[in-house]
Amino acid sequence: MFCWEHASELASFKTRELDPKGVLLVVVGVGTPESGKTFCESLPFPEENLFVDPTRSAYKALELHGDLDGTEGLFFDPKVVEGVRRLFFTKITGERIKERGQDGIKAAMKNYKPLMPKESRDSVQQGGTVVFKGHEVVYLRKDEATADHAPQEEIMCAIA
Amino acid sequence: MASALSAAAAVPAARLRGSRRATGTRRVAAAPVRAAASTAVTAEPTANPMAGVQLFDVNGESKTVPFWNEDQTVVVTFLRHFG
Repeated sequence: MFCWEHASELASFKTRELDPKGVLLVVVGVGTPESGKTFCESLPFPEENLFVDPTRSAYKALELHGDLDGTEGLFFDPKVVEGVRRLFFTKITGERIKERGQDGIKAAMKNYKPLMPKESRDSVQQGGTVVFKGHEVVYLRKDEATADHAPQEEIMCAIA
Repeated sequence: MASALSAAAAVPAARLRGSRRATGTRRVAAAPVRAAASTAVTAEPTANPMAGVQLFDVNGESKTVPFWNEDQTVVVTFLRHFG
């Protein structure tokens, strides 16, 4: 559900800051095209800016946190423990929620539908933000935990 | 692709020093490939880590991220999933 809040903030950020500067916004999510379409219709979010990554191939390429590939052991596998810790048990999540307040998530949740990936390991995947200038990566931030996102002021510095 | 990204210099952007602590922030510059002194090799930029990644639109059609215009700035944000 934090993804809904995040996407809603990004849609506003796009209109307010990125569009006037001619900067493109691409939002990528893990799931199926069908779940992506439902997400766009329900939030709402512009379909043309949404990309679907069913196999998390882009997440793997960027080495974002929480990449479980199914070869791990059961719960006590260090990668699983680390992924679950980032998912539920870090102080970062609480700090970010406190910083942002509850208005954003309340607004984003009005039409919320659960669209979890079929594979439970896909739910452990964390996100991030990359700024490209042509081929060059000028900013890369790997989200540390659930509800942790790149601050918009950092993105603005990167695109300046 | 991933190894190229890992090998790139990771230097915190000075402009961001006043911002909130961001443990995952990296500023990655495309580094030219260094040729041996006796070998004439044209410098090449670091490969785009997302080159070759296959993404889709909400109708299931293959969709390409528009990185390839050198003048275009693109912000790519990765959500965890759709809900």
